[in-house]
Amino acid sequence: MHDPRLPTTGSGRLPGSAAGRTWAVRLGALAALLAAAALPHFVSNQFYMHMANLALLNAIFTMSLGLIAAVGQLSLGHAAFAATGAYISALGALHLKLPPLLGIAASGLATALVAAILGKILLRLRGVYFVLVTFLAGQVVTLVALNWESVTRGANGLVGIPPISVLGYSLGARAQFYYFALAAFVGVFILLRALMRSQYGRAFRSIAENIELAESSGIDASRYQVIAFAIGSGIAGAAGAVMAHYIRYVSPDTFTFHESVAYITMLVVGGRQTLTGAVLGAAFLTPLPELLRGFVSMQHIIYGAVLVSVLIFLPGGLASIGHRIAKMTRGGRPRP
Amino acid sequence: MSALLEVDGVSRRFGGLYALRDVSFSVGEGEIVGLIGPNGAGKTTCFNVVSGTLAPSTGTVRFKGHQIAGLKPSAIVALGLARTFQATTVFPTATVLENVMRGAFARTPVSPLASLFNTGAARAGLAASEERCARLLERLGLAPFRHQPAGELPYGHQRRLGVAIALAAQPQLLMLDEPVAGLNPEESAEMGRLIRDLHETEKVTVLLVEHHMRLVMGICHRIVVLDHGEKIAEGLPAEIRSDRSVIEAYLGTEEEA
Repeated sequence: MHDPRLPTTGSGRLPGSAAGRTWAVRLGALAALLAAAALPHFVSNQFYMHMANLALLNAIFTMSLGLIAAVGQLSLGHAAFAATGAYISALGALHLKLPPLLGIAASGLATALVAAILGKILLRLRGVYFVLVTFLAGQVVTLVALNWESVTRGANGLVGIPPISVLGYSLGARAQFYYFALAAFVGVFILLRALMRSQYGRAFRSIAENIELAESSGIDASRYQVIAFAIGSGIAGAAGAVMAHYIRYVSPDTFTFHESVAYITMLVVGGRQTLTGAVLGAAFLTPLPELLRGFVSMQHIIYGAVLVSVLIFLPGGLASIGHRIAKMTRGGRPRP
Repeated sequence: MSALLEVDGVSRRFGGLYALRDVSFSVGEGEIVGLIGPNGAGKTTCFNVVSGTLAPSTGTVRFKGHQIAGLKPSAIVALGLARTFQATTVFPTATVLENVMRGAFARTPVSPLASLFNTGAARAGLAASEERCARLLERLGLAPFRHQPAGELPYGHQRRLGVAIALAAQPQLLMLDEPVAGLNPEESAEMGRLIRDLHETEKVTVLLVEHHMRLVMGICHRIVVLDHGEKIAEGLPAEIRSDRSVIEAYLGTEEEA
């Protein structure tokens, strides 16, 4: 998996070692994909399959949050878009008999549109102000889901949401859903990777690094921030809908402020500079609380300790481990 | 000589304070014009209004006949007016080449959508743009550093990179905000030569704000002097040097002194 910061042009002029590394990365990605595809054949434990499914969905949430972070904005309302998408698709399936796949697509488009309109207004704010407003927007969504009982059934939530079916083939079982989640994950990964390597990515990074200079370089900062926010939130909305059709239930507790914070944690722990970082963060933190279940009373303490040590020893996140090791083995010699 | 930039009756208030009051001047095609004045005279405000960073309270700014006051900086750059900033302004973690590629964003003939699908046309467009940026770096003597992060360059080089980023937008009018501030005498002289050079070879019109009088007197064809937000003088360097109101603005009147 690529470092999206690498220059996209002149690939023919990459130094030899970098070209070799590109192939190694491609082979590694292929091997990881094959291993992921074979996973259900080796794992019979339903709980582990569930964890794998959640990790894939969390990776999608975290990558899409990373897209918003790539323009230098931190959204504390990411789960609110997931909730919006989940409710739209669930209500469509329950009341209009909308096929789940159609509902998921509609959720993505609707949340992207909402985000574009909100973003046009909110993205004038930067830094903590934007964080605060997205936090409030998230709270508003939770309150609406809780109190608009005639539609959302309030705290009881919506039950009996149908599973996703593809060409009449139901993906209700965990192992079957896994392939859908994996395909969605790969699709989002490829889309975001292409986005970050395109002129869009160049504009996003410019804005994150120096918004004034970006603007006076002819990059329309507000336009590109709205684009990143709408695409990132739209993906979250669609993934929220996928989650609703997977767990077959959605309530105001499904996507709360805690989930928003969890995505940010995954992004930071994994490394927010690369897409791979978001994936590693989700893969590492999704099962971690469960792995620590054996230490019942210490569970949260150990979880916190792991987070803090990652941040101290790997400020670039888990994705920077490779660089770290390479640096140590090269013994501080300058890069060739 | 037709006017490329016309600033007409521009005022800018911050609360009750006038940072600029009814300022008018013009910059003709092919000129190097200096904008000078004591600290707090409103030079930088004037610069920000022209480049779109600030909207004027009243008045108009025309560039190539287009009304540009109140447009976003990105739209103004697309018309052919680029600026540098007073402090070091580069993209510190990006490579030197990437910095210039970002500066060339508005002049890269590739639609973002085409580059998303990485079409052949997009690749060719980006390669052409990279080629042009590499030549620009060579022109400014920054080519040896092209793969280094911009933040690691020495200060003088970063200032030059700032000029390179602005030039990458292929402006007809280049606005330089204190291009030699913080540079040592050799670096300043070098920057002065560079500006004159670029003016000749790239056929770019220059408007610069500067405190460094030797530089201003040395390279400018015409000078506009601001004090307390108002234009107090305009003319050739020799005229400005002996202008009574300018001397008073800088040194105070005899009674005060």
